[in-house]
Amino acid sequence: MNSDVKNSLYGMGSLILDNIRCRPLRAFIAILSIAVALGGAMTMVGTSESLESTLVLGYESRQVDLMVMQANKTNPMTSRIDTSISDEILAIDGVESVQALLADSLLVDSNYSIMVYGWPSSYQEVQYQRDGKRVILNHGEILIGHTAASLNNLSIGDHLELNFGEYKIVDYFEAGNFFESGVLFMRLDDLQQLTSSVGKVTFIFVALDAGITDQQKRVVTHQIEQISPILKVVTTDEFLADNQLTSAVRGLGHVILISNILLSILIVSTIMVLSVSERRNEIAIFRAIGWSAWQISWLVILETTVISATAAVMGGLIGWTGLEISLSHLQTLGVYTESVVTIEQAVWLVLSAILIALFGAALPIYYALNISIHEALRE
Amino acid sequence: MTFIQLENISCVYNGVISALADVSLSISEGETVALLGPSGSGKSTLLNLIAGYETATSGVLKIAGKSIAEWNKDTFRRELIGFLFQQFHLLDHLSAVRNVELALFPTCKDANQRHLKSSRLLKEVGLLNRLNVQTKYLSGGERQRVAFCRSIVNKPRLLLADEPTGNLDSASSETLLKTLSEYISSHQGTMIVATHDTEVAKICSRVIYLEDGKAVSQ
Repeated sequence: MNSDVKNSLYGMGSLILDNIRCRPLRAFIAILSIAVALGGAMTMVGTSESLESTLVLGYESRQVDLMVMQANKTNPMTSRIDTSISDEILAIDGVESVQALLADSLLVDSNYSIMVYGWPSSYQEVQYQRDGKRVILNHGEILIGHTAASLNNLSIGDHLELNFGEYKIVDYFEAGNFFESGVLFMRLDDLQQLTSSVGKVTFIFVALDAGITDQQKRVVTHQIEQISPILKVVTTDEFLADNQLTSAVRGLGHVILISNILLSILIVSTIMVLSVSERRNEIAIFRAIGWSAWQISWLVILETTVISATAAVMGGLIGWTGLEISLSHLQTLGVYTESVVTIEQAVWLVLSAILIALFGAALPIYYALNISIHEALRE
Repeated sequence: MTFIQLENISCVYNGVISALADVSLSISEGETVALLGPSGSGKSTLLNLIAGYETATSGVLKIAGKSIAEWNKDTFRRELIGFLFQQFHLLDHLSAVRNVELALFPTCKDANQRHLKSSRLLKEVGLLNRLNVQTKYLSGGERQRVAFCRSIVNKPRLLLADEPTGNLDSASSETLLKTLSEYISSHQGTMIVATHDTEVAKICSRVIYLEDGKAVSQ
């Protein structure tokens, strides 16, 4: 009796699985193609989000709530504001601390450019360990990030000619994020001299009092902008959203995601049209015994859904593996990154699978519903 | 009471080949009709028109008082007719019982009920020990009996059979004819059989001869 009941549970799902089992190679190729397409896109988007998350962590470690820079600058690195503004910002209620930074790209040995950050000598960024003691960089000394050292084949003790000034690498520094890992640190006054920017900085990082409300944050922002009309105040999230590198990677990821979804729709559509074409007789039988247009459509939709859903699961695994490989490759360059797999990514994957199933089913359904019963049965 | 009414039905393929020419006839409910005639006489075309698989080039075709064009095609095929094909048209990779169950998908939501109804019917035609055998492994006669079960499982008011014994040996033909006769005697439904086999015609209450797409005698 049990086997009879078990045997009797034959529905649309079983019929679809039977169909897929009848053509395992085709189903496997379709699933694998879509999985690779989705996985590749996930790797790109995941890498971008991981890089962004690493940047956020870097700013969080500096307790940066707001960034002050020169307004109307497409490239924020060309921003120049007076160092003295730091004191005015510090005097505003709700501001706990400020950090000034001058950033510029300098010519190394008249050969290539490198990004250099200049920090005031009171900051720990320009301090390093020498003979067991923490000391401040002297004039003419620089620290180097691991990525910059690795990419440019530099190490401690090397001398560099920066904008025709002689500098010695005295230590590596631990970067808070992957951008910083690719730069040099020097004293602010040295960099100001080298770049003819005496009294100027690129950014002022502002840390606000703990527990400050959004309303108070807006008031502080307004007060800073009142100091000078050339000032622009952004949150770290706003700054990252405008960041050219992460925007480029994110944009590329989204382009690849969309194009791969379209590609997947084409793949599943082609496979299903082939499948319907091969099963013209079978579909004509279904129509002949009274199956409605909706039931035929449902049959195709369910089959594409099974293929897409399986591909989405495989794509998730491929994407996650690709992300780990991509990030480990970045880490060999000295770039610290943290793998980020979010609920949002999973939702995107599920949505992609639904989109692929629905749009991929459209053409095969149209084709299936236009099969002439008597012609198909005569073949 | 007239169940099927054909008035001046013609069917022309590609504007040249005339499969049916000006055929008029009527069939009452409960009648069993044999369409006799040689190959190419238009028997299959006539059945396909009545089943709604093809559309006539001209003329009027009414079934159960309604023009065929007024019927919802899905409802019509699902609830009104059953069709028995010469080539069986079973899904070979599925078992006998699954093939019959497929016809119940549109009318019965309960998978258990579908299975029970199909099994019962297959048992009645002597295929109890073949229920779970893929139809590709069945003999021609067995396959035609599975196809017969599929065609009547929804209890159609009209059973159409196109050369049902055309692909069967004499023993299998005899078994199928016995099955069809039993069905006719136990149901009040209407049946139209296209055949060139006079033995098949014998089980019918009326014979219509077709020649070159015309009904030459009724």
